[in-house]
Amino acid sequence: MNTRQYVLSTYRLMLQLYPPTFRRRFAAQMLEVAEAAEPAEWPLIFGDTSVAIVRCWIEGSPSTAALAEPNAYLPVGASSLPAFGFLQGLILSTVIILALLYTGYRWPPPCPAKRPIVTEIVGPSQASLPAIAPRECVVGRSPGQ
Amino acid sequence: MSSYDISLPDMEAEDRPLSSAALHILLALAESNLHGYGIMQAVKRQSGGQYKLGPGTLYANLDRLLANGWVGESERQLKHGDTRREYHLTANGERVLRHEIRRLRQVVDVARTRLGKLDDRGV
Repeated sequence: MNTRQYVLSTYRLMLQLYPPTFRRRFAAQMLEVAEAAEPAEWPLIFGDTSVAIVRCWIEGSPSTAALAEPNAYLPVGASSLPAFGFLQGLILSTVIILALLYTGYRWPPPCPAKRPIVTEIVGPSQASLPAIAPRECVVGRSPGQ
Repeated sequence: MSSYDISLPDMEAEDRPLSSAALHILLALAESNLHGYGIMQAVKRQSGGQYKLGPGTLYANLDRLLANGWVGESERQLKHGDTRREYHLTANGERVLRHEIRRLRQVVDVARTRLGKLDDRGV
């Protein structure tokens, strides 16, 4: 695959990021423009298209509004949920994910420091005590007890 | 408002000032019917290379211009059997373009007068 084909494949993938209705209407023509363009124009084409994709999602377009299908993606502006709601949702989900990651990292919790760990084998005189596995954490008990 | 919005919320579509991109596209189509890349080249040429239109901005504007009925589209059959989509200026589009040029002329007239006064004062 030469550079030109690689660039065009990348651009074709980039066009997939447009809302479906807009993409169906204009993506083929946009690809034709990229095919006709000189290599010197590629930075303009990529830069302009990436900004336009974001704007198309945020502001919507006549295509996306007129040809909206059931279950189609909606631009943020056309959703009944305000942009601030999306921001709140994003922050909340980030906090939840970070909290879960932290919990996973700290689980199972380590034995608290400065608390005795029973390592001795329990003698027959203390046989009435419940059996304790070696290295098991016992809270509030010292070897003298 | 975005740089390629061709509208303001509380005005009739035809009374709103056009964005640079929409104005350049209508001007390019006033010369001849063009396909997408042809419009990009025409805009570059007519602005003396000062204004370069990318495909994202071009098709976002064409989408709005088509929806407003200022630009129309048609399929053109090419020699080897392929088709190409071309865009043309409609009568409504021509009226909007003339209206915009009148508005810009007024702006230029005011600017000339005021800058002339500044020149007289030796600023």
